[in-house]
Amino acid sequence: MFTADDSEWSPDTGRIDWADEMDRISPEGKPSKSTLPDSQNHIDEGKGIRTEISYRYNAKNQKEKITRTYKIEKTAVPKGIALRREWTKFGEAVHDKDGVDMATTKESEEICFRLTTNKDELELGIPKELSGLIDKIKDIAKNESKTEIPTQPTEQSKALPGTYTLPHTRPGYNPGVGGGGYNLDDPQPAVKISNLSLDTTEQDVKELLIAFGRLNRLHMPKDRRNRDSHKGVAFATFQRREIGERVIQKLNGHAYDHLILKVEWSKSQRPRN
Amino acid sequence: MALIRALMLLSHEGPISQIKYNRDGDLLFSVSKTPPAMVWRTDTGMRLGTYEFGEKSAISCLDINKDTTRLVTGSAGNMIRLWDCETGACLQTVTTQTSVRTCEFSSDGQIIFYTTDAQRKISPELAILTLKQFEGGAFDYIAQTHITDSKVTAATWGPFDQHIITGHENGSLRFYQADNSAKRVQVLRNEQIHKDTVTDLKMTSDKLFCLSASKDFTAKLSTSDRLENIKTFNTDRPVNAAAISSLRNHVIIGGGQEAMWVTQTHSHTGKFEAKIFHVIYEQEIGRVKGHFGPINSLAFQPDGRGFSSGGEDGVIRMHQFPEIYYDFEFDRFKFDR
Repeated sequence: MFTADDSEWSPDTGRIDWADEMDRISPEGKPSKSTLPDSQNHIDEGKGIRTEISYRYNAKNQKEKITRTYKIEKTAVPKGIALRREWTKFGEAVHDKDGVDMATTKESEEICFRLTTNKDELELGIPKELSGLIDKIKDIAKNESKTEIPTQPTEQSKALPGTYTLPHTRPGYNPGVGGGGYNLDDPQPAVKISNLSLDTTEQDVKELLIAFGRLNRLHMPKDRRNRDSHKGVAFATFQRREIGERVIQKLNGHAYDHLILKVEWSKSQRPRN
Repeated sequence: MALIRALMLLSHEGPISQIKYNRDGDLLFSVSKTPPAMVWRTDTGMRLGTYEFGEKSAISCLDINKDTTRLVTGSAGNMIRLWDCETGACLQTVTTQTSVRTCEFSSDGQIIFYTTDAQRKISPELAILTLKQFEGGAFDYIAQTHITDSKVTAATWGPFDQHIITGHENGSLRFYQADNSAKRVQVLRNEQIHKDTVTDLKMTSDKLFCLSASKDFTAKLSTSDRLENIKTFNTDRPVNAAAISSLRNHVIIGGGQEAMWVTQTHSHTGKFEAKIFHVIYEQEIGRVKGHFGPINSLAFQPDGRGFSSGGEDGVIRMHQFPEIYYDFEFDRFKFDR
């Protein structure tokens, strides 16, 4: 009933950067809406499908056709409810927009809903399976920080003074603990992409990587404090190792959304049994 | 775990004082400390209408009759108003001595009771009115009594509308029954259930048990025939509202710090979530976050497939339970081990 299927989007609709926003304001002004064809509405009674076709201009001044298909569902309700469906708006609500007015009704952000008898899970929001693991992880982290890793100057650290060096190529860079979790000996090792900007969505990364070859799995760890956000890291596994190599070769040091990406093979942080 | 989205109903300007579903669950009525009263469609969250008040006094309670034709509201402006649900027209008003705290229709919708607060030297009052005359213009008091010891803070009709169950400021629950010949109400039973003010009183759908919420950090389930406390739900906060599911053995409890302390604390520490408890094991099984202030009113959908909460922040949040709600089984063997 509520599903909308946007089938005919031009490929260029997506994120709009503030820089693009400036470009859109052309000297001639915005394109006049009158040149667009009227939106159409077809109802297929037999199939119970309503099709809505509308047109608009996109950021590049190209005409776009948007087709939305809705499935019409009929449900039986008690007589009282059916009669009340006919009620019209009254009082202050008369001034609201038709249907659901966004000024009075909004959808909230996503809320975690879980039912559990585990107290940790209720209070900290940590899944039951993981609550025992936290102590283990803390132990591992403690042990690892004890063994000091001698830092070796790499080739990139000899860069000319005044030129920008990536944070991870600077001398004395300590990758620290965390992240990872993939083994290099795996037949399909993961590629770790870090220094992603927080505006980047999983879809963006997918679009970026899909050009190189078949993607097996993409994982972007969520920020534990802010569930809407991620940590700026993505792990991707490809079907073949060569694809991963090409991604690292092409994308490491590549500028993406005002930040410079760091792409490398993901290192396993815990030894495998 | 599942991610759900609540529908936020944002039109109220003041803190929500009470929300109620109608019997079929297709409409949600709400009143706040700033008029008007409002009605919403529960399937889309659309605001269907408002009930316009002449004056600007806080509305404290509402009730809808069983066939959703009449709405009754009680306000701090010493006024009981009867409304036509469909058009929003005010049909009748009754002036009371002091501000109204609770009001409710009887099952047949022909009788209402109301209770009032204490003001200056006027002691709180419990009154029962018949509605037939009420609608015609002249209304008829079946009973009217001043309650001198402790004011009524929550009240509801008992089983078969034989008596009124009241919750009091001193934490007691009582039965009041009308004495028709004397036009008075009299106390049938008086049980000290809570240690502090009773804030909410709800009946199960079969009216066998009543759930009372209190500022003493607990909500308690008592039998509705003898007011015996059988279950206690302990929390870490004053409880302002409670509701019982008609579908599963769950109650939902909401509250938080008092409004006067809210500005001094972070929303994480204010404990403003709604908590879901298992009725039989008295154990907390879930939390639903969202409000930025204490929850003042909670209502389960009559079919038990969702609930709504109204908060001090003036927002009503309507939730639909995800699939996992129905799959959840309490781990009953945990205690056997």
